[in-house]
Amino acid sequence: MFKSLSAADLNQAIVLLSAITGLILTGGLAVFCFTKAFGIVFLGQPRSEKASFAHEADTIMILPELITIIFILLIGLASPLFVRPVIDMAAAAFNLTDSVPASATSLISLSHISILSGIFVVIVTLLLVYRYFHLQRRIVTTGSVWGCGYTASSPKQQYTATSYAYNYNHLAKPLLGTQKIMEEMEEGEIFPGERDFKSFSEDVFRTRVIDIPVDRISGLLKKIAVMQTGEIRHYILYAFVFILLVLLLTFFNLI
Amino acid sequence: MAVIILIIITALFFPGIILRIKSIASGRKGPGVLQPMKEIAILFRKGSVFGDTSGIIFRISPAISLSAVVCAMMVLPFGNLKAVISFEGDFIFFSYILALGKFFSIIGALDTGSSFEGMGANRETFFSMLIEPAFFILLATFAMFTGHTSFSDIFAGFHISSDHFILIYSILAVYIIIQIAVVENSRVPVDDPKTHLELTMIHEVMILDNSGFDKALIHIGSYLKFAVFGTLLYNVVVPAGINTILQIALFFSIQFVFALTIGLVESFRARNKMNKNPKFILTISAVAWIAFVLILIMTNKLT
Repeated sequence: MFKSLSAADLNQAIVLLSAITGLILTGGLAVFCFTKAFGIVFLGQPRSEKASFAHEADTIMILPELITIIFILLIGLASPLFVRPVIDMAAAAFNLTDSVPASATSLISLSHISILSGIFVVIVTLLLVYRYFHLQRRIVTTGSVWGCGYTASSPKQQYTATSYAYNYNHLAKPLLGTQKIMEEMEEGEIFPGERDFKSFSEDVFRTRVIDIPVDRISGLLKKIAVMQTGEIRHYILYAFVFILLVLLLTFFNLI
Repeated sequence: MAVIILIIITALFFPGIILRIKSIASGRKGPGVLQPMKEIAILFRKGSVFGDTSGIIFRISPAISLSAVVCAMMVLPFGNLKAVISFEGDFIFFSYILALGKFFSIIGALDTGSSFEGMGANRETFFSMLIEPAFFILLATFAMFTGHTSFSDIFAGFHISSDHFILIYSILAVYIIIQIAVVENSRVPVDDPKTHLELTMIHEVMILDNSGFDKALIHIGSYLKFAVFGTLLYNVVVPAGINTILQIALFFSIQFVFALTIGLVESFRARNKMNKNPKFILTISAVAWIAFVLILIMTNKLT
């Protein structure tokens, strides 16, 4: 995509850059989404009593996941090993021998990424090993996390998924139409009682792009459904009217 | 390899220069240029305190974040000297390896279970997400008029063309890179590293629970990141292929001017209100788009 920009004309350049911007925003959203999902589900303190009893499954149950994770990591870290056979197979199956040299450039880039990934893993490992021995010689203690002087923090004070996504929701509110359901506090309510707070956002594409046309079509079909009388003679009549219509349209050279 | 050594040397002095500029601008004697390094040495000597709710992610994330910055350094060229590892699309690797480091620092913050750190993590992710397009639009424009897709080739071919648009684009590129560096390094006007109120913090609140060795790694990563963006600035401003000694002198001069700019901005400008930050960051992307259209006009594509 970046390579095509230099040879692109005006329209192509704008389309390419728009596509790049879209993809980059998607990448940013992925980081946002995964930090939220991983952070809220797996990190911090258990957010409910049930969650506090959660424990890891037996090794035999984790094993299939581990095998999958190993392959996911391998595909990321040593991608040429997996991509090269796929390219060869695709080229052989679809007679694409001309495009194989072009894909060789991608393989070179992938090889470099693999080398850099290897270096990354080595640096992380060295740092963590050094850290281990370094901390062996230092005093390491545990204590409550920073609460601005308030040390009796409870799991309820942790960031929720909604609060984590608040900034993003605020920006995307016109598109998402996020709504809140909560009972407002009265002016003289010094010690508020228990309240529920719910927030939700519509699936914009479902409600506006899919639901509206589908509702209209199904409304039209409901009107047409009056023809569905269950009487055989009516159905024969429909066929007769249809043939007559075709004949008339043909006679007047309309079809 | 030269670029890595130069970045490390720069990182030793960069935060100290900012501190000195800020203290001079505010009429104080202030600490020495090497004060941040002395603080890192102190952190290395100290023990560590971990939150009782934090787990393995909190402990490994500083090492991963620092390693990510070190790997990002490896794809940066220095003048006509190619990067340690250079390949087509290496700037995508550069951006995403930094994003990986950020990912771990964010989940490390969430691992503490502290509401403050969750707040910082949320802000840092959000602002990083918004600034990403500006960087890629900038690089896409570089790729468009040089015809290359790796840092080394882009900057080697950047000044070959004698067209005047290179100069105009360089000015815009310098502005965009400085703004990206400000956002990525959480500095004024987006964030204030010296603020003392958790509710107004972004990056600092994320690392409140880090101490000792881990905190030192976080600071080193942050200083290196400054020098990395300074290196990008150098490559945009200085033509490749000039005398090596002159190149090194110009490299340190540009890094100094970059630190000076950051120091002066922090001395004379207040930070943005938190809810103004998204607009500020999106404006940087808009400037990058304008720069792109400008190049389209100048290369006669927009006729």
